[in-house]
Amino acid sequence: MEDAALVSRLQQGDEAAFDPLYRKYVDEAVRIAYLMTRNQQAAEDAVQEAFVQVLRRIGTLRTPAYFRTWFYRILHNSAVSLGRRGRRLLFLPWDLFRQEDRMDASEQAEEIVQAREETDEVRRALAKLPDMYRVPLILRYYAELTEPQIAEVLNLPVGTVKSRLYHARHKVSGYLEHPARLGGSVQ
Amino acid sequence: MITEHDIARALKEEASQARVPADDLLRKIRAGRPARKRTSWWQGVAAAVVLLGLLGGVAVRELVRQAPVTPASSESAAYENRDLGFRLKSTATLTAPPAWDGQAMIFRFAFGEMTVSRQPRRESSTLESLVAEAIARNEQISSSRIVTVEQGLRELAGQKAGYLFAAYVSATAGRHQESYFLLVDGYEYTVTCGTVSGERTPWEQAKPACEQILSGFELIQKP
Repeated sequence: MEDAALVSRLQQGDEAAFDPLYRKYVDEAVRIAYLMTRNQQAAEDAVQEAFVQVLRRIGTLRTPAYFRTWFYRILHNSAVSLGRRGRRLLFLPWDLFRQEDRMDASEQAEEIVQAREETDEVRRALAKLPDMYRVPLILRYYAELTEPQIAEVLNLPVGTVKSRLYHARHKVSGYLEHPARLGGSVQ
Repeated sequence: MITEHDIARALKEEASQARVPADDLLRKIRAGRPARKRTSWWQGVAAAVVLLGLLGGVAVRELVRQAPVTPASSESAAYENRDLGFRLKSTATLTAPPAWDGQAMIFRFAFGEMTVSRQPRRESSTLESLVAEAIARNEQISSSRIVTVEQGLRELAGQKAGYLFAAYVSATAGRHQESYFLLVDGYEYTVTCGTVSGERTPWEQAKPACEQILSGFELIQKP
């Protein structure tokens, strides 16, 4: 069923419509929140808070067909809010170390290792971007929103979104060409 | 210039590391509960009373060192030690309650144990000095997991509060362990996980258990 129909039912008080809406978006929402916060617990918290806000504020959504953009705006605000609160916590990505072990496994084909290293370099470069550049990239290349939709989510002019996307790509390229900017050499 | 495809692939791979606990989240949302429910002071007192009952034989001095310990729940860390400044997300694999041996918190599980300790930051601590200390204790160092300061900084890029500055795998007679060293807030933390001396458990059995418990380990800073 289309978002618009589900949202309309929800707005009319049919809470059964929430379940399919939730099932449709929860996977993508957790992954986008994870990209934004880079913390599993913060991502879950952000998604939980965003869906609770959906239930509370669904009546304020004037155009049900725009649910996805509206929802990502709430999700982004939740992630930013939790991110601010969460800065007192230090999250240790132990898993990253274990990936290095896996990459060292001699049985892995050389080309797979090389591809993985290249992707890891891009990931590290993306991780270095300030949120103002990183979040538009996530919305554009992971959530596959259009530039006007990103502008709606982030409450920015479309021109600003285009500019940030351009500069974000430029900065990532710069990090990859000059690894010293990453705070150490990239292997 | 990096391609859009490269960015999309990197984001997709990073996003694939996220877990999606869809049913858990739905239950919480249905209940209308706000995220990050905080423990109130009376819940802390209640937890302390329960703990006192459970650990009646333990000296009060030691309890004070460990407090506050939060009970396991689906919404909070399974174990939190604000005195030492760390928490564990899950204690499901533990076979005994966490214990303080005077130097470190010890967490026992079926195939091994994890210890967490800290001391004031030593300016002289480097990877090389820590490795030298381990060798002096007759530990054999496996060079495959030595981490340079630059790597530690890079792994924790963006985390200004502290960083992992050394890690290695070592073995002594009858014991095999991983050691991690972190600097946070003027403290030097040592986190080890491995087999228990004298129990003859193969490292291959302890390693997955260590990975599981270490993945839920977080340092917390005082507000």
